[in-house]
Parts: sequence; C-alpha cells; structure tokens
Amino acid sequence: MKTSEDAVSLSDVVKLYGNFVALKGISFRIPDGGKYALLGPNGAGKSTTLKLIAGLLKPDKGIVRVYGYDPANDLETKKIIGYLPEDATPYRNLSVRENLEYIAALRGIENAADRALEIMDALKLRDYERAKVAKLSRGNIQKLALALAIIHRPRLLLLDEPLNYLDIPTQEEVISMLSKIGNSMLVSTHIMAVAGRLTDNIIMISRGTLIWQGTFAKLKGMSSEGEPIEKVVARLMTDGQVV
Amino acid sequence: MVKWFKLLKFIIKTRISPGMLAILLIIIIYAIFTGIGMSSSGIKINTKVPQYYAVIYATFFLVFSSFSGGLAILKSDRDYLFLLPINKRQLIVTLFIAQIIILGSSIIAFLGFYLPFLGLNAWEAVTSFALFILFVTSLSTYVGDLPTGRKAIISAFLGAWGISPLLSFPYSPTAIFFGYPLSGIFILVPSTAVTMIFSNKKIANIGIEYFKTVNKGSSVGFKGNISFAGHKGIKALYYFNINYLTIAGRSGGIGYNVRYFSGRVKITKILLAISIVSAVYAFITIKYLSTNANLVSLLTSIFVVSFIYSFMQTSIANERPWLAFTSIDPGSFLIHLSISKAISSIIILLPLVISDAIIGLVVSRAGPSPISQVTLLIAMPSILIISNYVATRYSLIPQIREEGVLPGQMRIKQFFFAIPMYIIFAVIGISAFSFFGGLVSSGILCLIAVIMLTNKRIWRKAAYSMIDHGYV
Repeated sequence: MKTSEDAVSLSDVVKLYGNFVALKGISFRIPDGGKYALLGPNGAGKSTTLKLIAGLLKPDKGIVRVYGYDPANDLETKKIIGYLPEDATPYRNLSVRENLEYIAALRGIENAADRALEIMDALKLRDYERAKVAKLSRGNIQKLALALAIIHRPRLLLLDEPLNYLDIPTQEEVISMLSKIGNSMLVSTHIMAVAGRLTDNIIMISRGTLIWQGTFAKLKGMSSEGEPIEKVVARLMTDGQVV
Repeated sequence: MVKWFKLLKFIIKTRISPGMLAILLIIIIYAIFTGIGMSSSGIKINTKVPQYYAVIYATFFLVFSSFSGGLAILKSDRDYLFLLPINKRQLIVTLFIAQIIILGSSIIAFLGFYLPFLGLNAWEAVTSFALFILFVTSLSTYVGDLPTGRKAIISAFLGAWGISPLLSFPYSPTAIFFGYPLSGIFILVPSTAVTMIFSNKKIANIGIEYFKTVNKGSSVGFKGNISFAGHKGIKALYYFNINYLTIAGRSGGIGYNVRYFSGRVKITKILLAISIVSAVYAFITIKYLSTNANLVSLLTSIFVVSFIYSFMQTSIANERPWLAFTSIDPGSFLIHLSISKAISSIIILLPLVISDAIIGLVVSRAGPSPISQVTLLIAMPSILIISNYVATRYSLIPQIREEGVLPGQMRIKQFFFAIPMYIIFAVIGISAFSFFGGLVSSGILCLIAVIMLTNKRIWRKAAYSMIDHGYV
C-alpha cells in the first residue's frame, strides 16, 4: 500500500487537550475516491479527527497524511481539502456573495466572482446574495457554509453533520450534489440514514479509539432479523469493542 | 424571596466566573481598607494624579457603557431561562439588579483603587459611588438600545461632560472624583433619577420577544457589495481589512454590560468622521484651551487610543479559522491580519496627528506634539500587532458566533486584554514628559512587533491555540 495514494491516512495518532486524551493512537486509511462515514458517540473524538485531517490541529503523536501531504505543514493540502465543521458560521460581517468571493479570492481561485455565482445557483442562494449572514435562516447559513467548503472543488471533503438544519427537499438536493462530485469524503454524523445516503464505508470510534471499520453491507449483516441498523451501531458503541 | 435570591445568584454566576468575582472582591476590599487606613491615619496626598485617572476611568464607563450597553443577555438565557415559568417582570428586574451588582463591582474595582486618594469622607464616598453606579447602569440600559447615531451623539456628550471637571467645570457626574463632591452629588441625584425613570419605563414596557430579536432594527442586506475582483490570496485580506474596519466583540472594554456584535464600516467613512472631529478639536483647543493644550492633547490621545484599541482588537472575535486557516497558511493569515490592522490604525489616526501638529505650531510654536507622533504613529500600530498575537495565542477574546448576546462568562484572562492599552497609556505619559523617552519606548514596542512578525512559527502556534480554545 502506498500511503501517498490514500486520500487520508492516520497512523497511531494521539491528540491531547491539556491532560485530556481526545485520541488514543487512532489509525485508519481512506483510499482515493472512498466515501466514509465517521461514527461515534458524543465526545468520541470525531470533530478532533476531522480538525487534524483539515490541518487545523497538530497531533501530539503519530502521523496524519492527506494524499501524502502533512495537512498541518504542506500548503498543497489547502487546495485539496474542503472542510465543513458542525454548526459552521461564515463571516457575519459579510453578505452571502461577499463571503463566497472573499474565500474564493483568498484561495486564489481565478474568476472568484463567477465561481461565487455558479455555486450560489447550484445551492439556490441567489435570492439571498446581498443578505447579511446574521439575518439568514439557520438552513441558509448551512447552505452557504457548504458552498464555502466546496467552492474550490476539493478532492477530499470533510463534512461534520452536513445536513443539519436543511429542509427535506434541500437535503435531497445536497445529497444529489455531493454524490455527483465524486470526491473522497469523510462524513461525521449521528444519523445513520445520512451516513447511508452519502457513504459506503464506516469508521466507528469511541473514547478516542477505533472500535469498528467496515462496509455498510457488513454492518447490516451483523443485525438480527428486523433489527434496525442503529441498534447494531449502538451495541458496538456501548460494548466499545476494539477492532 | 429565597426563590428570587436563587435567581439573582444564578444570573450573576452565569455571567461572571468565580475567579473573576474573587479578583473584584479583593480590589473592593483593598479600596475599603486602604480608605479606612488613610482616613484614620490622617495622611494627605498632595498630588492630583489619582484624581485625573479616576475622572478618565469614570468617563470611560460613562461613554462605553452607554455606547455599547444594554442588558447583558447570554445565548442560554434566550434558549432556556426565558422559556422557564418565571414571572417576566421579576426576571427582568432581577437581570437589572444583577447588572447593577456586576457593573457596580467593576466600577468599584477600577475606580476603588483611587478612592483613598480622592479626599472624600465616608458618606461622600458611599453616596457618590452608589449614585454613579446607578447612573451608569440605568444609562447603559436605556441608551444601549437606541439607534447608533443617537447613541454616538449621547456618548460624545457624556465624554465631554465626563472630562469637564479637569477643565474646572464642577457640575459633572464625574466631579465627585476631582475634588467637587457636593456639586458632583448635586448633579448626580437628578441625573440618576431621570435615567432611572427612562430605564424603568423601558424595562416595564419591554417584551420578552425583545431578547429573541436583538437585531430586529437593522437591515437585512448590505447597501453595497464588496468586490474582490483583482485581489487574490493575501491581497484579498489586505483589500478587505484596510478598506473596511471590522468592529466586533466586547466593544465596551470595561465592565460587563456589553453586547457582542459584529459589523463593518468603510474606512473612508471613519476617516471623514475623524477628520471632522479632529478639525473641531484643533479649532476648540487653539481658540479656547490654548493654555491647557498639552493636557488636552494628552487626554485626547488616551481617549482615542482606548476607543480604537477596543474596537479594532475585538475584531478577532469575528474570525473564522475553518475558512481562513484552511484557505491559506494560518501563521501567514494572522501575520498579515495584524499588519493590515496596524496600517488601518495609522490611516485612521492621521487626521488627529495632523491636528496635533497644527495645535503645536500655532499654540506653542514648538512644532507637532510629541505625544501624537510617537504614540499614535509608532506605538499604537506596534501594540496592535503585539496584542493581536497575545489575544490569539491565549484566546483572550471569545469567538462571536451569535450577535446580541454574551458568548459566555467573563473570566480573569479577559482582564489581560486591557493590559496593552495600559502600555500605550504609559508611553503617552512618558511622551508627555520626554520626547526622547517616548520615542525610545515606542521604538521598543515597534522592535518587538517587527521581531514577532518575522517569526511565523509563533503565529502558527497562536492559530492552533485559537482552535484548541474553541474557535471554529
């Protein structure tokens, strides 16, 4: 296996917040084009994992690589990664359009204004282009945040609860759009239906440790007849069974 | 009564951390015991310096509390507390009393230090402080919710009224701190009564919905659109941050009755306003205050520095690491953000420096005032860079995710946010006595800022620290 061909690889990664150990030597890999869901109970370390991959945090121990690059040090990863945190808020002192143009310009995208228009059309944000972010509904803020995360057409998408606050028609539009993009993807979510629609594989962590990894089909195979998949996930998380 | 006391205790505890409360109590106890000690020992202080400081601080409270005031509301208040089956009137009155206690303790903490040196007897001290606290709290409650234009006019009037005792005008709410206790109390009684009536009327008529829509008065969209055409990468950052001033965060600087907000103002608008104010300032100083020109220059510099520092340095609260740090190198982003702020401050302060130069040439024929040159043009931009690093590295300012509400408890480390302002005050003081001393101290700050800017590693650490401390 060549690490550089993987979209993401984590090797024995430890992350501390003061004395609290958020990640306890976690390792996994996502191949190029792989669509993975990151599952785990509250406080499992999902957001920390995404931040480490996005280069927003540095591991205290271990190696994080994105297409062979160190996301905390190699600027190349800025072009590759698109990151959407949970409850993301764009710049509140800019309008919808200005947010998109500013980030596109900051990223050095050619024709930032055209790209902003294109993505506003794709996410049906044109009606709000001059609106202050502070005045948008939570659903429209989420759409704008999503637009900002993908404005540079990233190869790897890191999404934390991407469908939060979206109404059902918009959820369907976003799912369809994300499915068409064809990028590598790591989606953190608590909702199995969302994970099932956006991804094919599961990485399950609990208390900073990897506890299970496999395909959706494999997970479904673990359920007894008529048992919902959520129950299987809950059982795995509660048992804390380590792979 | 027990239930009400519990509610009051809860409201205070949710707004101020135990550590911060302990620090305030220590300062209050210090002020009381030093005062008792000094009055019983009969020691007399022959300098007016503490009185000058007390008047300046008191004026800060008047100006900032009214300009950025309003009842302090947490997001959790809106989401949970206001939905509980608590009598609405009781809840609002409790919030107001909590505000009196919290704001009052900070007024005593800041001004209490000078209390033993003000020459007040016990009843004058108690009466004047109680009235001043009530006056500031009710002012902040009423004026804080007025439209910005009106707030600015009232705050400017309060600023001028506040420092007027320094120019021998005894009928001011701050006169109590400058050797005019009787006229000060005489003016505070009706002023407090009037502002209390206004604020009570407002509180009585206020709907609980008010708290849910604190921004309802402002427009939905921006009038103009900022175009980033032709500006790529770092250039876009400079273009935005030099042409527009982001004002965000805890703008009050002192006290806890502040609102968190974010907004932007075109730098040309600020420049125009400051040019007009500077021209008026030069005219008044030359025409009417020429004998006190140096003192006026000193006070103006202190005010301008504190105002600009409070507004500019809180803008970090509006940053979005998930967008900025994933677009360009986090260290580079913070370095260039700091430089752009320093450049903005020079642009904004230029009219005042020119006014001071004119005053210097006309009044004393000695040339431009050294206070202006060294503090406003060298020390101020330098301290903005240094404090930007400190604020990000130690996360002194919480991120604004929602406007109109406090993002959390006030903590001890937020006290440190004000320290760079005191360094500037010290440089202003040194400059007032010695041009060379001012130049050297400003030069040291400039050197520190330059050394910091050349070390990207420390800024990267600051960026990671922001994420570690909850910035998204």
